[in-house]
Amino acid sequence: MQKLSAKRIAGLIYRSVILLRGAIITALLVAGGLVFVGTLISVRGDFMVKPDEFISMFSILFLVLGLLFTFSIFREIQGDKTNHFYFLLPATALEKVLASWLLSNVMYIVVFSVFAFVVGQLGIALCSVFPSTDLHVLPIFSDTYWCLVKFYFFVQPAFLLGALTFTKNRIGKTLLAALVVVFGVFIYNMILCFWFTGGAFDVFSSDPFSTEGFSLAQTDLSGIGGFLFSLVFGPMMLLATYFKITEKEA
Amino acid sequence: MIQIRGLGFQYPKGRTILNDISLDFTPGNIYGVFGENGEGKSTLIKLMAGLLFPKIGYCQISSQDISRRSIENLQEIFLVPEDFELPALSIDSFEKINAPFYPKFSRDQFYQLIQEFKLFPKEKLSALSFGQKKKVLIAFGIAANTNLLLMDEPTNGLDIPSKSQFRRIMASAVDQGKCIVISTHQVRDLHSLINHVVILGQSKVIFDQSFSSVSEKLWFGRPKQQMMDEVLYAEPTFGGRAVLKRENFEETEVDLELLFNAVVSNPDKINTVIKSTHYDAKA
Repeated sequence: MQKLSAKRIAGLIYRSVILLRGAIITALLVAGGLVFVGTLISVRGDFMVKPDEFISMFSILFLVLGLLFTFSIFREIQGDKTNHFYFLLPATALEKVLASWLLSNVMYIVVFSVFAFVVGQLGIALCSVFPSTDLHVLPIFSDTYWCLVKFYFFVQPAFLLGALTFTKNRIGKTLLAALVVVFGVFIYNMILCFWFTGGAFDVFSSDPFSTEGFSLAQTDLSGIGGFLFSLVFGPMMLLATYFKITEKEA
Repeated sequence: MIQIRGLGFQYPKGRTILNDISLDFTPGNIYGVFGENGEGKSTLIKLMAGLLFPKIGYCQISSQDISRRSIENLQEIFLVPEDFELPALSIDSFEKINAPFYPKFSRDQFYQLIQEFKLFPKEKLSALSFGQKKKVLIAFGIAANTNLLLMDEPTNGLDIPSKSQFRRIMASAVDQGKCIVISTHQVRDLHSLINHVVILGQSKVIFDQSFSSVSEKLWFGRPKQQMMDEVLYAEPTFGGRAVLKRENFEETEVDLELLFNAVVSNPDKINTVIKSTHYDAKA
Protein backbone atom coordinates (compact mmCIF):
# COMPACT_ATOMS: atom_id res chain seq x y z
CA MET A 1 0.00 0.00 0.00
CA GLN A 2 1.46 3.33 -1.05
CA LYS A 3 1.65 6.23 1.38
CA LEU A 4 -1.03 8.88 1.15
CA SER A 5 0.47 12.34 0.81
CA ALA A 6 -1.48 15.44 1.83
CA LYS A 7 1.01 17.54 -0.13
CA ARG A 8 0.28 15.66 -3.35
CA ILE A 9 -3.50 15.87 -2.73
CA ALA A 10 -3.16 19.63 -2.21
CA GLY A 11 -1.05 19.79 -5.39
CA LEU A 12 -3.74 17.95 -7.36
CA ILE A 13 -6.47 20.27 -6.02
CA TYR A 14 -4.41 23.35 -6.88
CA ARG A 15 -3.74 21.91 -10.32
CA SER A 16 -7.45 21.31 -11.00
CA VAL A 17 -8.41 24.78 -9.77
CA ILE A 18 -5.83 26.43 -12.06
CA LEU A 19 -6.84 24.26 -15.03
CA LEU A 20 -10.53 25.12 -14.50
CA ARG A 21 -9.86 28.70 -13.43
CA GLY A 22 -11.66 30.30 -16.37
CA ALA A 23 -14.74 28.08 -16.09
CA ILE A 24 -14.91 28.56 -12.31
CA ILE A 25 -14.75 32.35 -12.56
CA THR A 26 -17.38 32.46 -15.32
CA ALA A 27 -19.72 30.12 -13.40
CA LEU A 28 -19.32 32.10 -10.19
CA LEU A 29 -20.01 35.38 -11.99
CA VAL A 30 -23.18 34.00 -13.56
CA ALA A 31 -24.31 32.42 -10.27
CA GLY A 32 -23.42 35.58 -8.37
CA GLY A 33 -25.46 37.71 -10.76
CA LEU A 34 -28.47 35.41 -10.47
CA VAL A 35 -28.24 35.26 -6.66
CA PHE A 36 -27.95 39.05 -6.50
CA VAL A 37 -30.94 39.68 -8.76
CA GLY A 38 -32.89 36.91 -7.00
CA THR A 39 -32.22 38.53 -3.63
CA LEU A 40 -33.43 41.92 -4.87
CA ILE A 41 -36.62 40.34 -6.22
CA SER A 42 -37.15 38.48 -2.90
CA VAL A 43 -36.90 41.71 -0.92
CA ARG A 44 -39.54 43.36 -3.08
CA GLY A 45 -42.98 43.32 -1.49
CA ASP A 46 -42.25 42.19 2.08
CA PHE A 47 -38.91 44.05 2.50
CA MET A 48 -37.01 40.95 3.56
CA VAL A 49 -35.65 37.67 2.24
CA LYS A 50 -37.49 34.67 3.62
CA PRO A 51 -35.63 31.33 4.01
CA ASP A 52 -37.83 29.49 1.50
CA GLU A 53 -37.44 32.18 -1.14
CA PHE A 54 -33.68 32.12 -1.02
CA ILE A 55 -33.20 28.39 -0.73
CA SER A 56 -35.40 27.60 -3.74
CA MET A 57 -33.16 29.73 -5.97
CA PHE A 58 -29.98 28.59 -4.21
CA SER A 59 -30.83 24.87 -4.54
CA ILE A 60 -31.18 25.02 -8.31
CA LEU A 61 -27.90 26.90 -8.79
CA PHE A 62 -26.10 24.77 -6.21
CA LEU A 63 -27.11 21.46 -7.78
CA VAL A 64 -26.72 22.47 -11.42
CA LEU A 65 -23.31 24.10 -10.94
CA GLY A 66 -22.17 21.26 -8.68
CA LEU A 67 -23.09 18.77 -11.37
CA LEU A 68 -21.31 20.75 -14.10
CA PHE A 69 -18.26 21.23 -11.90
CA THR A 70 -18.09 17.52 -11.08
CA PHE A 71 -18.16 16.66 -14.77
CA SER A 72 -15.47 19.19 -15.62
CA ILE A 73 -13.07 17.68 -13.06
CA PHE A 74 -12.25 14.60 -15.14
CA ARG A 75 -12.27 16.32 -18.53
CA GLU A 76 -8.50 15.89 -18.79
CA ILE A 77 -8.77 12.11 -18.37
CA GLN A 78 -11.33 11.72 -21.13
CA GLY A 79 -9.17 13.28 -23.86
CA ASP A 80 -6.81 10.94 -25.71
CA LYS A 81 -4.38 13.81 -26.20
CA THR A 82 -4.48 15.03 -22.61
CA ASN A 83 -4.85 11.99 -20.39
CA HIS A 84 -1.24 10.75 -20.60
CA PHE A 85 -0.06 13.72 -18.53
CA TYR A 86 -2.66 13.09 -15.82
CA PHE A 87 -2.04 9.34 -15.68
CA LEU A 88 1.73 9.81 -15.44
CA LEU A 89 1.53 12.40 -12.68
CA PRO A 90 3.34 11.00 -9.67
CA ALA A 91 0.26 10.60 -7.49
CA THR A 92 -1.63 7.46 -6.50
CA ALA A 93 -5.13 6.67 -7.79
CA LEU A 94 -6.44 7.12 -4.24
CA GLU A 95 -4.90 10.59 -4.02
CA LYS A 96 -6.44 11.49 -7.37
CA VAL A 97 -9.90 10.34 -6.26
CA LEU A 98 -9.63 12.09 -2.90
CA ALA A 99 -8.45 15.33 -4.50
CA SER A 100 -11.30 15.26 -7.03
CA TRP A 101 -13.86 14.46 -4.34
CA LEU A 102 -12.61 17.07 -1.87
CA LEU A 103 -12.66 19.74 -4.55
CA SER A 104 -15.98 18.95 -6.18
CA ASN A 105 -17.77 18.04 -2.97
CA VAL A 106 -16.49 19.43 0.35
CA MET A 107 -14.75 22.53 -1.03
CA TYR A 108 -17.53 23.21 -3.50
CA ILE A 109 -20.19 23.10 -0.74
CA VAL A 110 -18.21 25.51 1.46
CA VAL A 111 -17.10 27.90 -1.28
CA PHE A 112 -20.43 28.10 -3.09
CA SER A 113 -22.40 28.52 0.15
CA VAL A 114 -20.10 31.30 1.39
CA PHE A 115 -20.13 32.95 -2.03
CA ALA A 116 -23.95 32.83 -2.30
CA PHE A 117 -24.26 34.12 1.25
CA VAL A 118 -21.90 37.04 0.62
CA VAL A 119 -23.58 37.99 -2.66
CA GLY A 120 -27.07 37.67 -1.16
CA GLN A 121 -26.00 39.72 1.83
CA LEU A 122 -24.62 42.38 -0.51
CA GLY A 123 -28.01 42.43 -2.22
CA ILE A 124 -29.74 42.96 1.14
CA ALA A 125 -27.20 45.68 2.02
CA LEU A 126 -28.02 47.44 -1.23
CA CYS A 127 -31.74 47.21 -0.51
CA SER A 128 -31.21 48.62 3.00
CA VAL A 129 -30.16 51.88 1.39
CA PHE A 130 -33.88 52.40 0.84
CA PRO A 131 -35.75 53.38 4.03
CA SER A 132 -38.38 50.64 3.63
CA THR A 133 -35.88 47.79 4.04
CA ASP A 134 -33.89 46.96 7.16
CA LEU A 135 -30.46 45.40 7.01
CA HIS A 136 -30.96 41.77 8.01
CA VAL A 137 -28.96 38.54 7.85
CA LEU A 138 -29.61 36.37 4.81
CA PRO A 139 -31.41 33.25 6.06
CA ILE A 140 -29.35 30.72 4.11
CA PHE A 141 -28.73 28.07 6.79
CA SER A 142 -32.26 26.71 7.04
CA ASP A 143 -33.25 23.06 7.47
CA THR A 144 -33.80 22.82 3.73
CA TYR A 145 -30.20 24.01 3.20
CA TRP A 146 -28.80 21.25 5.39
CA CYS A 147 -30.97 18.65 3.63
CA LEU A 148 -29.69 19.91 0.31
CA VAL A 149 -26.06 19.78 1.46
CA LYS A 150 -26.58 16.27 2.87
CA PHE A 151 -28.14 15.14 -0.40
CA TYR A 152 -25.30 16.61 -2.48
CA PHE A 153 -22.64 15.27 -0.11
CA PHE A 154 -23.85 11.67 -0.42
CA VAL A 155 -25.14 11.59 -4.00
CA GLN A 156 -22.36 13.58 -5.73
CA PRO A 157 -19.83 10.67 -5.67
CA ALA A 158 -22.19 8.83 -8.04
CA PHE A 159 -21.79 11.68 -10.51
CA LEU A 160 -18.03 11.65 -9.97
CA LEU A 161 -18.12 8.01 -11.03
CA GLY A 162 -20.27 8.90 -14.04
CA ALA A 163 -17.87 11.69 -15.02
CA LEU A 164 -15.04 9.16 -15.06
CA THR A 165 -16.90 6.23 -16.60
CA PHE A 166 -18.55 7.79 -19.62
CA THR A 167 -16.52 9.44 -22.34
CA LYS A 168 -19.32 11.06 -24.35
CA ASN A 169 -22.64 12.65 -23.28
CA ARG A 170 -21.44 12.10 -19.75
CA ILE A 171 -24.12 14.09 -17.89
CA GLY A 172 -27.00 12.55 -19.84
CA LYS A 173 -25.68 9.01 -19.48
CA THR A 174 -25.05 9.44 -15.74
CA LEU A 175 -28.56 10.80 -15.19
CA LEU A 176 -29.96 7.95 -17.26
CA ALA A 177 -27.97 5.40 -15.23
CA ALA A 178 -29.20 6.98 -11.99
CA LEU A 179 -32.76 6.86 -13.31
CA VAL A 180 -32.41 3.18 -14.18
CA VAL A 181 -31.07 2.42 -10.68
CA VAL A 182 -33.89 4.37 -8.99
CA PHE A 183 -36.45 2.64 -11.20
CA GLY A 184 -34.88 -0.73 -10.41
CA VAL A 185 -35.07 -0.05 -6.66
CA PHE A 186 -38.68 1.10 -7.08
CA ILE A 187 -39.65 -2.10 -8.89
CA TYR A 188 -37.76 -4.22 -6.36
CA ASN A 189 -39.56 -2.51 -3.46
CA MET A 190 -42.88 -2.86 -5.20
CA ILE A 191 -42.37 -6.58 -5.67
CA LEU A 192 -41.29 -6.99 -2.03
CA CYS A 193 -44.28 -5.01 -0.73
CA PHE A 194 -46.65 -6.97 -2.93
CA TRP A 195 -45.12 -10.22 -1.74
CA PHE A 196 -44.95 -9.39 2.00
CA THR A 197 -48.51 -8.08 2.11
CA GLY A 198 -49.90 -10.97 0.15
CA GLY A 199 -50.96 -8.68 -2.67
CA ALA A 200 -52.74 -6.20 -0.39
CA PHE A 201 -50.36 -3.39 -1.21
CA ASP A 202 -50.96 -2.03 -4.66
CA VAL A 203 -48.99 1.05 -5.52
CA PHE A 204 -51.43 2.04 -8.23
CA SER A 205 -54.48 1.64 -6.02
CA SER A 206 -56.02 4.48 -4.02
CA ASP A 207 -57.23 2.31 -1.11
CA PRO A 208 -56.23 3.69 2.36
CA PHE A 209 -53.66 0.95 3.08
CA SER A 210 -51.77 1.46 -0.15
CA THR A 211 -52.05 5.24 0.02
CA GLU A 212 -50.67 5.32 3.57
CA GLY A 213 -47.92 2.88 2.65
CA PHE A 214 -46.93 4.91 -0.37
CA SER A 215 -46.84 8.23 1.49
CA LEU A 216 -44.81 6.62 4.30
CA ALA A 217 -42.31 5.36 1.77
CA GLN A 218 -42.05 8.85 0.35
CA THR A 219 -41.48 10.63 3.65
CA ASP A 220 -39.78 8.11 5.89
CA LEU A 221 -36.41 6.62 5.22
CA SER A 222 -35.90 3.70 7.57
CA GLY A 223 -32.82 3.35 9.74
CA ILE A 224 -31.37 0.77 7.38
CA GLY A 225 -32.26 2.95 4.39
CA GLY A 226 -30.63 5.98 5.98
CA PHE A 227 -27.54 3.96 6.84
CA LEU A 228 -27.29 2.57 3.33
CA PHE A 229 -27.86 5.98 1.76
CA SER A 230 -25.42 7.93 3.91
CA LEU A 231 -22.68 5.55 4.97
CA VAL A 232 -22.64 3.00 2.18
CA PHE A 233 -23.78 4.67 -1.04
CA GLY A 234 -21.34 7.64 -1.07
CA PRO A 235 -18.21 5.71 -0.01
CA MET A 236 -19.18 2.86 -2.34
CA MET A 237 -19.33 5.27 -5.26
CA LEU A 238 -15.94 6.72 -4.27
CA LEU A 239 -14.52 3.21 -4.11
CA ALA A 240 -15.95 2.48 -7.55
CA THR A 241 -14.37 5.73 -8.81
CA TYR A 242 -11.03 4.62 -7.40
CA PHE A 243 -11.22 1.27 -9.22
CA LYS A 244 -12.30 3.05 -12.40
CA ILE A 245 -9.23 5.30 -12.26
CA THR A 246 -6.91 2.34 -11.74
CA GLU A 247 -8.63 0.60 -14.65
CA LYS A 248 -8.20 3.66 -16.88
CA GLU A 249 -4.55 4.01 -15.90
CA ALA A 250 -3.82 0.70 -17.59
CA MET B 1 17.60 0.75 -15.24
CA ILE B 2 14.86 -0.60 -17.52
CA GLN B 3 14.67 -4.28 -18.10
CA ILE B 4 12.21 -5.77 -20.56
CA ARG B 5 11.92 -9.53 -20.78
CA GLY B 6 9.71 -11.65 -23.04
CA LEU B 7 7.27 -8.79 -23.43
CA GLY B 8 4.22 -9.32 -25.59
CA PHE B 9 1.40 -6.94 -26.31
CA GLN B 10 -1.68 -6.70 -28.47
CA TYR B 11 -4.62 -4.34 -28.40
CA PRO B 12 -8.05 -5.91 -27.83
CA LYS B 13 -9.18 -7.64 -31.03
CA GLY B 14 -6.00 -6.45 -32.72
CA ARG B 15 -2.96 -8.21 -34.11
CA THR B 16 0.11 -8.81 -31.97
CA ILE B 17 2.02 -5.53 -31.87
CA LEU B 18 5.01 -6.67 -29.84
CA ASN B 19 6.14 -10.24 -29.43
CA ASP B 20 8.87 -11.59 -27.16
CA ILE B 21 10.68 -8.29 -26.70
CA SER B 22 13.73 -8.34 -24.45
CA LEU B 23 15.74 -5.16 -24.04
CA ASP B 24 17.92 -3.39 -21.50
CA PHE B 25 18.13 0.37 -21.17
CA THR B 26 20.94 1.66 -18.99
CA PRO B 27 21.68 5.16 -17.62
CA GLY B 28 24.03 7.51 -19.42
CA ASN B 29 22.75 6.55 -22.85
CA ILE B 30 20.46 7.97 -25.50
CA TYR B 31 18.60 5.19 -27.23
CA GLY B 32 17.02 5.52 -30.63
CA VAL B 33 14.07 3.20 -31.21
CA PHE B 34 13.35 2.91 -34.91
CA GLY B 35 10.86 1.03 -36.97
CA GLU B 36 8.49 1.38 -39.87
CA ASN B 37 4.98 2.71 -39.28
CA GLY B 38 2.88 0.39 -37.15
CA GLU B 39 5.82 -1.63 -35.86
CA GLY B 40 5.00 -0.82 -32.22
CA LYS B 41 7.43 1.98 -31.37
CA SER B 42 4.81 4.12 -29.64
CA THR B 43 3.31 1.06 -27.95
CA LEU B 44 6.73 0.12 -26.58
CA ILE B 45 7.21 3.68 -25.26
CA LYS B 46 3.77 3.56 -23.60
CA LEU B 47 4.59 0.19 -22.05
CA MET B 48 7.84 1.61 -20.72
CA ALA B 49 5.94 4.58 -19.26
CA GLY B 50 3.38 2.31 -17.61
CA LEU B 51 0.51 3.66 -19.68
CA LEU B 52 -0.04 0.17 -21.09
CA PHE B 53 0.49 -3.14 -19.34
CA PRO B 54 2.17 -6.08 -21.08
CA LYS B 55 0.03 -9.10 -21.87
CA ILE B 56 2.98 -11.39 -21.28
CA GLY B 57 6.49 -10.81 -19.97
CA TYR B 58 7.44 -7.81 -17.90
CA CYS B 59 8.89 -4.33 -17.98
CA GLN B 60 10.79 -3.29 -14.86
CA ILE B 61 12.41 -0.08 -13.72
CA SER B 62 14.94 -0.43 -10.92
CA SER B 63 13.79 -4.06 -10.46
CA GLN B 64 10.17 -3.01 -9.89
CA ASP B 65 7.33 -3.70 -12.30
CA ILE B 66 6.31 -0.46 -14.04
CA SER B 67 2.69 -1.64 -14.05
CA ARG B 68 2.69 -1.28 -10.23
CA ARG B 69 2.81 2.49 -10.82
CA SER B 70 4.62 3.25 -7.59
CA ILE B 71 5.18 6.90 -6.77
CA GLU B 72 8.95 6.38 -6.70
CA ASN B 73 8.83 5.08 -10.28
CA LEU B 74 6.43 7.71 -11.58
CA GLN B 75 8.69 10.43 -10.16
CA GLU B 76 11.49 9.02 -12.31
CA ILE B 77 9.59 8.81 -15.62
CA PHE B 78 8.60 11.58 -17.99
CA LEU B 79 6.99 11.06 -21.38
CA VAL B 80 6.88 13.46 -24.30
CA PRO B 81 4.15 11.88 -26.44
CA GLU B 82 3.82 12.19 -30.19
CA ASP B 83 0.44 13.86 -30.13
CA PHE B 84 -0.84 15.88 -27.22
CA GLU B 85 -2.80 18.92 -26.18
CA LEU B 86 -1.73 21.36 -23.51
CA PRO B 87 -4.16 23.37 -21.37
CA ALA B 88 -4.93 27.01 -22.13
CA LEU B 89 -2.50 28.34 -19.54
CA SER B 90 0.62 30.44 -19.66
CA ILE B 91 3.94 28.58 -19.72
CA ASP B 92 4.77 29.63 -16.15
CA SER B 93 1.35 28.51 -14.85
CA PHE B 94 1.88 25.15 -16.56
CA GLU B 95 5.21 24.86 -14.76
CA LYS B 96 3.73 25.89 -11.40
CA ILE B 97 0.93 23.30 -11.42
CA ASN B 98 3.00 20.35 -12.64
CA ALA B 99 6.53 20.88 -11.34
CA PRO B 100 5.75 20.15 -7.64
CA PHE B 101 5.06 16.52 -8.56
CA TYR B 102 8.65 15.99 -9.74
CA PRO B 103 11.08 16.26 -6.79
CA LYS B 104 14.17 16.87 -8.96
CA PHE B 105 12.52 19.53 -11.13
CA SER B 106 14.78 22.52 -11.80
CA ARG B 107 12.97 25.81 -12.44
CA ASP B 108 16.18 27.52 -13.53
CA GLN B 109 16.85 24.82 -16.10
CA PHE B 110 13.26 24.99 -17.36
CA TYR B 111 13.24 28.75 -17.90
CA GLN B 112 16.73 28.60 -19.40
CA LEU B 113 15.48 26.07 -21.96
CA ILE B 114 12.33 28.11 -22.58
CA GLN B 115 14.56 31.09 -23.33
CA GLU B 116 16.78 28.95 -25.54
CA PHE B 117 13.69 27.85 -27.48
CA LYS B 118 12.85 31.55 -27.95
CA LEU B 119 9.67 31.35 -25.88
CA PHE B 120 8.45 33.57 -23.04
CA PRO B 121 7.15 32.40 -19.64
CA LYS B 122 4.00 34.52 -19.90
CA GLU B 123 3.07 33.21 -23.34
CA LYS B 124 -0.25 31.34 -23.51
CA LEU B 125 0.14 27.72 -24.53
CA SER B 126 -3.06 27.94 -26.56
CA ALA B 127 -1.48 30.63 -28.73
CA LEU B 128 1.58 28.53 -29.56
CA SER B 129 2.08 26.35 -32.62
CA PHE B 130 2.30 22.57 -32.17
CA GLY B 131 6.08 22.70 -32.58
CA GLN B 132 6.37 25.38 -29.88
CA LYS B 133 4.13 23.38 -27.54
CA LYS B 134 6.40 20.42 -28.13
CA LYS B 135 9.38 22.57 -27.16
CA VAL B 136 7.61 23.48 -23.89
CA LEU B 137 7.01 19.82 -23.13
CA ILE B 138 10.58 18.86 -24.07
CA ALA B 139 11.90 21.65 -21.81
CA PHE B 140 9.65 20.44 -18.99
CA GLY B 141 10.77 16.84 -19.51
CA ILE B 142 14.45 17.76 -19.38
CA ALA B 143 13.98 20.06 -16.36
CA ALA B 144 12.02 17.36 -14.52
CA ASN B 145 15.39 15.54 -14.31
CA THR B 146 13.74 12.15 -14.20
CA ASN B 147 16.04 9.16 -14.58
CA LEU B 148 14.03 8.00 -17.57
CA LEU B 149 12.97 10.43 -20.28
CA LEU B 150 10.80 8.89 -22.99
CA MET B 151 10.15 10.72 -26.23
CA ASP B 152 7.82 9.58 -28.97
CA GLU B 153 8.53 11.24 -32.31
CA PRO B 154 9.90 14.37 -30.60
CA THR B 155 11.01 16.02 -33.83
CA ASN B 156 7.57 15.85 -35.47
CA GLY B 157 6.35 19.40 -35.80
CA LEU B 158 9.78 20.96 -35.31
CA ASP B 159 11.22 23.09 -38.09
CA ILE B 160 14.71 22.41 -39.50
CA PRO B 161 16.65 24.82 -37.21
CA SER B 162 14.69 23.52 -34.22
CA LYS B 163 15.68 19.94 -35.04
CA SER B 164 19.38 20.73 -34.75
CA GLN B 165 18.63 22.80 -31.65
CA PHE B 166 16.80 19.76 -30.24
CA ARG B 167 19.81 17.52 -30.89
CA ARG B 168 22.14 19.99 -29.18
CA ILE B 169 19.89 20.36 -26.14
CA MET B 170 19.33 16.62 -25.79
CA ALA B 171 23.04 15.90 -26.07
CA SER B 172 23.72 18.31 -23.21
CA ALA B 173 20.83 16.94 -21.15
CA VAL B 174 22.10 13.39 -20.82
CA ASP B 175 24.30 12.58 -17.84
CA GLN B 176 25.40 9.42 -16.09
CA GLY B 177 22.15 9.09 -14.13
CA LYS B 178 19.76 9.63 -17.01
CA CYS B 179 18.48 7.35 -19.69
CA ILE B 180 16.81 8.89 -22.71
CA VAL B 181 14.76 6.79 -25.11
CA ILE B 182 13.65 8.40 -28.35
CA SER B 183 11.32 6.65 -30.73
CA THR B 184 11.05 7.93 -34.26
CA HIS B 185 10.63 6.93 -37.86
CA GLN B 186 12.60 10.02 -38.93
CA VAL B 187 15.96 8.34 -38.58
CA ARG B 188 17.98 11.31 -39.83
CA ASP B 189 16.70 13.57 -37.04
CA LEU B 190 18.70 11.64 -34.48
CA HIS B 191 21.95 11.81 -36.39
CA SER B 192 24.93 12.30 -34.04
CA LEU B 193 22.66 12.21 -30.99
CA ILE B 194 21.99 8.62 -30.04
CA ASN B 195 24.58 6.08 -28.91
CA HIS B 196 22.46 2.96 -29.11
CA VAL B 197 20.18 1.71 -31.87
CA VAL B 198 17.11 -0.47 -31.42
CA ILE B 199 15.13 -1.42 -34.51
CA LEU B 200 11.71 -3.04 -34.39
CA GLY B 201 10.38 -5.15 -37.24
CA GLN B 202 7.65 -7.74 -37.56
CA SER B 203 6.71 -7.28 -33.87
CA LYS B 204 10.20 -8.17 -32.70
CA VAL B 205 13.52 -6.53 -31.94
CA ILE B 206 15.51 -7.08 -35.11
CA PHE B 207 18.51 -4.99 -34.10
CA ASP B 208 19.87 -3.91 -30.72
CA GLN B 209 23.43 -2.63 -30.85
CA SER B 210 25.47 0.21 -29.44
CA PHE B 211 26.73 2.83 -31.84
CA SER B 212 30.32 1.94 -30.99
CA SER B 213 29.86 -1.69 -32.01
CA VAL B 214 28.13 -0.61 -35.23
CA SER B 215 30.95 1.71 -36.21
CA GLU B 216 33.49 -0.88 -35.11
CA LYS B 217 32.06 -3.61 -37.29
CA LEU B 218 30.38 -1.89 -40.21
CA TRP B 219 31.62 0.48 -42.85
CA PHE B 220 29.38 3.11 -44.48
CA GLY B 221 30.16 4.89 -47.70
CA ARG B 222 30.65 4.62 -51.44
CA PRO B 223 32.65 1.43 -51.98
CA LYS B 224 35.52 1.10 -54.45
CA GLN B 225 35.54 -1.76 -56.95
CA GLN B 226 37.83 -3.96 -54.82
CA MET B 227 35.49 -3.58 -51.84
CA MET B 228 32.40 -4.89 -53.62
CA ASP B 229 32.74 -8.42 -52.17
CA GLU B 230 32.20 -7.05 -48.69
CA VAL B 231 28.96 -5.22 -49.51
CA LEU B 232 26.11 -6.20 -47.19
CA TYR B 233 23.59 -3.73 -48.46
CA ALA B 234 23.70 -1.13 -51.20
CA GLU B 235 21.24 1.53 -52.08
CA PRO B 236 21.51 3.03 -55.55
CA THR B 237 19.22 5.91 -54.60
CA PHE B 238 21.88 7.02 -52.17
CA GLY B 239 24.34 7.53 -54.98
CA GLY B 240 25.91 4.17 -54.52
CA ARG B 241 26.28 4.32 -50.75
CA ALA B 242 26.52 0.94 -49.10
CA VAL B 243 27.02 -0.92 -45.84
CA LEU B 244 30.07 -3.18 -45.75
CA LYS B 245 31.88 -5.37 -43.29
CA ARG B 246 34.43 -2.99 -41.87
CA GLU B 247 37.30 -5.49 -41.73
CA ASN B 248 40.44 -3.37 -42.16
CA PHE B 249 38.77 -0.31 -43.63
CA GLU B 250 38.95 3.00 -41.85
CA GLU B 251 36.21 3.83 -39.38
CA THR B 252 33.32 5.81 -40.89
CA GLU B 253 30.51 7.83 -39.45
CA VAL B 254 27.41 5.69 -38.96
CA ASP B 255 24.78 6.49 -41.57
CA LEU B 256 21.62 5.84 -39.56
CA GLU B 257 19.28 5.80 -42.52
CA LEU B 258 21.46 3.40 -44.44
CA LEU B 259 21.85 1.18 -41.37
CA PHE B 260 18.09 1.18 -40.83
CA ASN B 261 17.40 0.22 -44.45
CA ALA B 262 20.07 -2.47 -44.33
CA VAL B 263 18.68 -3.97 -41.14
CA VAL B 264 15.08 -3.85 -42.34
CA SER B 265 15.97 -5.46 -45.68
CA ASN B 266 17.99 -8.28 -44.11
CA PRO B 267 18.29 -8.21 -40.34
CA ASP B 268 19.93 -11.65 -40.03
CA LYS B 269 22.72 -10.71 -42.41
CA ILE B 270 23.66 -7.54 -40.51
CA ASN B 271 23.31 -9.17 -37.08
CA THR B 272 25.38 -12.18 -38.16
CA VAL B 273 28.14 -9.95 -39.45
CA ILE B 274 28.23 -7.93 -36.24
CA LYS B 275 28.25 -11.06 -34.10
CA SER B 276 30.72 -13.01 -36.24
CA THR B 277 33.21 -10.16 -36.44
CA HIS B 278 32.80 -9.80 -32.70
CA TYR B 279 33.75 -13.46 -32.17
CA ASP B 280 36.54 -13.20 -34.72
CA ALA B 281 37.95 -10.26 -32.84
CA LYS B 282 37.77 -12.25 -29.60
CA ALA B 283 39.52 -15.19 -31.19
